[in-house]
Amino acid sequence: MRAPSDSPPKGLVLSIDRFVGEDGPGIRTTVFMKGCPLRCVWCHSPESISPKPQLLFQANRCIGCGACTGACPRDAHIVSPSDRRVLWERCDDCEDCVPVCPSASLDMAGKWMTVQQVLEVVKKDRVYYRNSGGGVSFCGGEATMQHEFLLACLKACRDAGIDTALDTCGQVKWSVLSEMLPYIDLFLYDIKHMDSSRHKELTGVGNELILENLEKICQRGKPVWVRIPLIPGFNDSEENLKKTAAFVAPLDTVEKISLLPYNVVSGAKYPSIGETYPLEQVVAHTKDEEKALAKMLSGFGKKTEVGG
Amino acid sequence: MDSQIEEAVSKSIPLTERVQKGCEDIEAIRFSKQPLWKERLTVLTDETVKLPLVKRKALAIGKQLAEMPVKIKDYELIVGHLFQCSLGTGIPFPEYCTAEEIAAAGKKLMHPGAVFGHHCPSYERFLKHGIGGLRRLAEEGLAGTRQDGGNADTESWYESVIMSLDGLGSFLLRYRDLALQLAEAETNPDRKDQLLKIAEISRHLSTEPPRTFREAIQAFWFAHAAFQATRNLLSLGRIDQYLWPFLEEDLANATTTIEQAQELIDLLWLKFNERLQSLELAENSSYYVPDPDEMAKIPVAELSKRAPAPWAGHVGNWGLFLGGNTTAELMDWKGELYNEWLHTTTVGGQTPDGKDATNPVTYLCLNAALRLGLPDPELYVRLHDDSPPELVQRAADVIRTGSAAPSFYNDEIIIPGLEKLGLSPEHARDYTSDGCWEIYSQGRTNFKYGIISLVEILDRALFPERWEGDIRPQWGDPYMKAWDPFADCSPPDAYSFGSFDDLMASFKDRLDRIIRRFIECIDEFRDERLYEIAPLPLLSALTEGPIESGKDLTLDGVTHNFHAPVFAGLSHTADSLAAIKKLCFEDNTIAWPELLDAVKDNWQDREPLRQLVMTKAPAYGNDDDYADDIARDIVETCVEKVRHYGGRVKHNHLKFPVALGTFQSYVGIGAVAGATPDGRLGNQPISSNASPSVGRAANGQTAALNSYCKLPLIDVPNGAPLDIAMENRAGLLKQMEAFIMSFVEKRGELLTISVNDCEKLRAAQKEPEKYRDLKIRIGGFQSYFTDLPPAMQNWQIKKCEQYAGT
Repeated sequence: MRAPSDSPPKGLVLSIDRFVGEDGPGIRTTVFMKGCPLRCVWCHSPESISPKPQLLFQANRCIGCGACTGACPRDAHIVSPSDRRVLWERCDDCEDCVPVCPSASLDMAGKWMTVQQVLEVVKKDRVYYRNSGGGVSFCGGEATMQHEFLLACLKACRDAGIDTALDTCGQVKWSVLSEMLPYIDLFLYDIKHMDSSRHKELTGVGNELILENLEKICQRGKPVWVRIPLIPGFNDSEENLKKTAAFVAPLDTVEKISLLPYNVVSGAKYPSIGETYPLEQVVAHTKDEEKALAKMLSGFGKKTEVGG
Repeated sequence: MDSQIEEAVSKSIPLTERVQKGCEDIEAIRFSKQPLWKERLTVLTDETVKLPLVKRKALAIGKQLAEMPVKIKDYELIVGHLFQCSLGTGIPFPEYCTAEEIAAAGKKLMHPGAVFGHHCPSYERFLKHGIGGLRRLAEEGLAGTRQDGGNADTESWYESVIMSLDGLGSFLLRYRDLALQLAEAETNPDRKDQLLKIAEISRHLSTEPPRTFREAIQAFWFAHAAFQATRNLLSLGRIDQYLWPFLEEDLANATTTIEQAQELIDLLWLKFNERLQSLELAENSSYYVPDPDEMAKIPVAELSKRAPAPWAGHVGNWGLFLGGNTTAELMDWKGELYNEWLHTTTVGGQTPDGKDATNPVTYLCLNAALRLGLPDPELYVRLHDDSPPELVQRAADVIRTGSAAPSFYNDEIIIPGLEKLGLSPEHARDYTSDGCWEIYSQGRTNFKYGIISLVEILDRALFPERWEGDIRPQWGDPYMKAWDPFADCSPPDAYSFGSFDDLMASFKDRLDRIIRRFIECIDEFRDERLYEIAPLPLLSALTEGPIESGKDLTLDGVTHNFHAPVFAGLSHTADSLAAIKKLCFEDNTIAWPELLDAVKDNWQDREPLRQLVMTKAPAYGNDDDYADDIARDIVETCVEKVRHYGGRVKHNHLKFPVALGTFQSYVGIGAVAGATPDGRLGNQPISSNASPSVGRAANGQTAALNSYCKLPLIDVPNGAPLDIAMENRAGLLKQMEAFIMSFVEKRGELLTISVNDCEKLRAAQKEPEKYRDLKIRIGGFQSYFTDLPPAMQNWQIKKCEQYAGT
C-alpha cells in the first residue's frame, strides 16, 4: 500500500510467469502489471484492476490457524472451524496479516518492483527466447497505466536484446503509446466491441480512442495480433465479429486475429478479493463453434485462429 | 545421401498391411491373458553334475533355447517369439546348480538368479562376426590357452562360451525348421516365398554374419530374444549405428527401399511389445509399492530396517538389492505391471570419431515410435551442438503425440564427463543407455549401481537415535557386519548445533562414511562369488573383451567396469538444508529445536510451521541461487568423496561414475524415510531423479531446467535425469523444440519430458478402462498410467499439476 517515493522508479507487478506459451510467439515470460482503465464485465483477473496493492485471500490454502486474527488491527478476519471469512468492508489492505500467514493463503496482489528486479527475472530465460523466437510480454491489467515504469522496462529489454510484446486494451493516450512504440516488437491488441455505446456498457469506455490508436500503430508499421475475447451473448454476434474483421482487414501490419475463448473459470478470483463475478451463467462456445467463427472471420482476409 | 535422409525424415510413409495386422495383434495381446511357458527343466544328470558349473550354465542356456516355444505369426518377416514369462512366475530357467551349491552361494548372499540386467552387448561385434565368427574367436582363445600351458578354469570357460553359441545357433535352426514346415502347408504363394526366405535367413545366420539390412535386424532380434529368455534383460545400445551400414549398402545396391526399411523397423518395434501383459494379471501380481499411509503407521526405527544398505545391491548382484530376495523374484517385479524389460535404445549423437551420427535409421526408429505409439523399446535421443534440427523436431513430435519418450542425452556434457572419468574419446562418444537411463560405453562395460539416499543421510545427521539398532538384513549377516560405517563414532547431537555450518559438517561426515563404505565394500568383495554361481557365458561372447581376455563378464573381463553410486533425494535434502539455513539460522523465523521437534514428530500438530517452511523457504528448481547453491554443494561433496575413496581402491580398474537418481523407486525410497525439514511428511514419495520436489517448483519449466543446469553435471557422468511435465497447449511443439535445444545449449545432461493433461490423468484414475493407452514416464521408462499403483498415480498427478500453473 505504501507507494514508493524514492528512486529508482518502481512498478506494481502482479506476477511474472515463465515458460508461457501465449501472449506472443515462442517461449515467453509474461509480466502482469496492475491497474486497468477498463471495467470489462467478464474480466477474469479482477485483482489486476486496482492500481494499488490489495489483499488476496485464497481460501483453499487456508489451514485455519488463526494467526491473521491476532495480526489484523481491524478484526477483519473470522477464523473458526465453521466459518472462515474476510470481512472485506473492514479490510484496508494494510498487509499486516500477510507475513504471519504460514500457508500464503493471505497474500498481496501487487508487489512494488524496480526495473532491475523485473529484468533480473526476465533475463533468466534469454536462451529460451533466442531458441524459440520468444521474449517478454507486458500484460495487465493494462501495462500502460504505469507508462513510465513500462517504458523503462521496455528500454531495458531492448538494451538486453530481448524481444518485447505489449498486450494492451488500447485505451491510452497516443502520446504515451508513441513514446514507447520504438521499443515494442509486437502488439497484442484487444478489440472488444465495434459498437462504441455497447463497448461503453461492457467496459466502461467507448472504443474511439482504441480503434484510432490501432490504426496509428499500424501506420507506424508495427506488427499487431488483434485479439477478440469471445464472450458468449456479449460480443460474439456474427455482426459484431464481422465488423471487427472488416475493420482489421485493411490494416497491413495486423498479422492475425486471435479469438480468445471465454475462460470458464473467469469468476474464480473474485471471492479472493471479496467481490462477486457478474457473469456466472455464461456458457462457453464449443470447440466446433469457435472453429466455425474463426473460419468465418478468416474470409475477411486476415489469418484467424482460436487461442494465442 | 541427403535425399535418403529426406525420405526417411518424412513421416508420411504409409503403414503397410502387414504392420497394421501386427498392431492389431499386439493390441489383442495386451488385453488377453497369455499362455505362459513354465516348464521346469534341468540339465543335471549323474554325468553333467560333474562338469564345472559354468559349463552346466551353458548347457542350461542351450536347453532353454531348445525347449522354449517357437512361433511365427502370419504377418511376420522378422521372427523370433519373445519368451513369455513373469507375472509372478519369474523367468523359469533350467536347473543347473546343486542344492549344495545354492546353499553355499546363499551364504555369500548370491543366487543362481543373481545376474544383472542393465548390460549392453556389442551388437556391432555380433553383426560383424556372426555366431560362427564369435565361435572361431573363442576356439582361438581356447587353443591359445592350451598352447600357453593350459588352465582348466579358462578352458572350461571358453568351452562354455562355445557351447552357448552353439545353443544360440540351434535356436535359429529351430526357426528355419518351423518356417519350412509352415511353408510346406502354405497355400498362398507369396507367403510361401516369404516363409522360405525366413528359413533361408535363419539358416544363414545360424553360422554366418548378416549380409543385408533385413538380416541384420533379424540377427539382432534372435540374439535379443535369446538373451531375454536366458535371464539377461539387456539394452539394445545404439541401434541406428549398427544397423545403418547394412541399410546404406542395400540402398547403394538398390536392394532395399526406405519404405521397405521402415516396414522392417516397424515390424521389429512390434516384437518388443509382444509380451505386454493383461491388467488382470497385473492386479494379481506380487509387485510391491508401499502405501505411504500404511507405512506412516510404522515407527521410523522399524522402517529403517526395511531399507537395504546402499551398497548391498552393488556388491555383486540384484539378489542382494532387496535384502536377500532372489533375482528370480526380482524379475517378476520388473516384468509385471510396468511392461518393462530394459529394452532401451539410444539413437543419434556422435560417431566414435566425433562426427554427427544421425542417419536415416535414426529417423526410421523415431517414425516407428511416432506411428505405432507403443511403449517399447524406450527411446533415448542423443543431441549435440551440431545435431540436425529435424532430429529435435521429430523427437518432439513423438513426445507431443501422447508419449513420454524419447528422452534426451546431451553429448556436450556427457562425452567430456566420461573422458574425465578416464574413457578414451572414442569410447566416450560411443555411450548408450544401459536399459534404464544410466550412461556407459556400449558393448564394453560391466555395470552395477547402488542407491544412496541423501534423505536418509540427512536423517542420520539430525536424528541418530532413530538409527540405533539399525540392523538391516545384510548387516546382520556375518559377511557384512564389519561394515557398519558408524561403528566407530558417537552419534551427533543435532540440538547442540549452533550454526548451519555445524549441521553441514555433520551431514557431510555421515555422507563421507557412507560413501567410503560403499566403495570399500565393492573393492573388498571383488571376488568370484558371482561367477561361482551365475556366470554369463553367452553375454560374455557378445561383449567386447571377455573372449579376448579369457575372462567372464562377471570377472571384469571387459574394458570398463562401472560401479555407480546413485544419489537419491537431492531436492528434498537441498530444500531441507535451505529451509534450516534461512529460517533457523539466518532469519530466526523458527527456533532450531522447534523445527527439529516438529520433524521428529512427523509435523504432528504443527501444520502452520510446516506450511511456513514450504511457503517461505527457498527451494531447488526455482532458479533461485540460494537453494540451487546448496544443491550444488551437496553434489560437489558427493563427487569429491567418491573421487577421493574411488582413487584409493585396490582394484584400480574399477570406475565410480556418480549418478543422481531414484529410478522408479521414488515411492519406495520415500516410504521408508521419515519426515524431512522441507515440509515433506514421513513416508511420502520423494521426488524423482534430479528433479525439483513435487509441489515446490513454482516458477515453471525453464526455471527448473536453469536450476538443474547449475549442478556440476560434468562430474555426474552416469546420469542425472531432470523429469519435466508439460501440459499440452497450442504451439507446444515449437516451444518444446526450443526447450530441448536450450537444454543442449545450457549443458543439461539428461532430460525427460512427459506431455500430460492433468485433467486426463485424474479422469484416468477414475475410469481406467477408458484410458488404457495413456503413457507416462516412470524412472527410466514409460508405462501405461492405468497400470500403476495408486500411490504412483497420485504422485504423477501432483507432478503434472505443479507445472500446470493451477
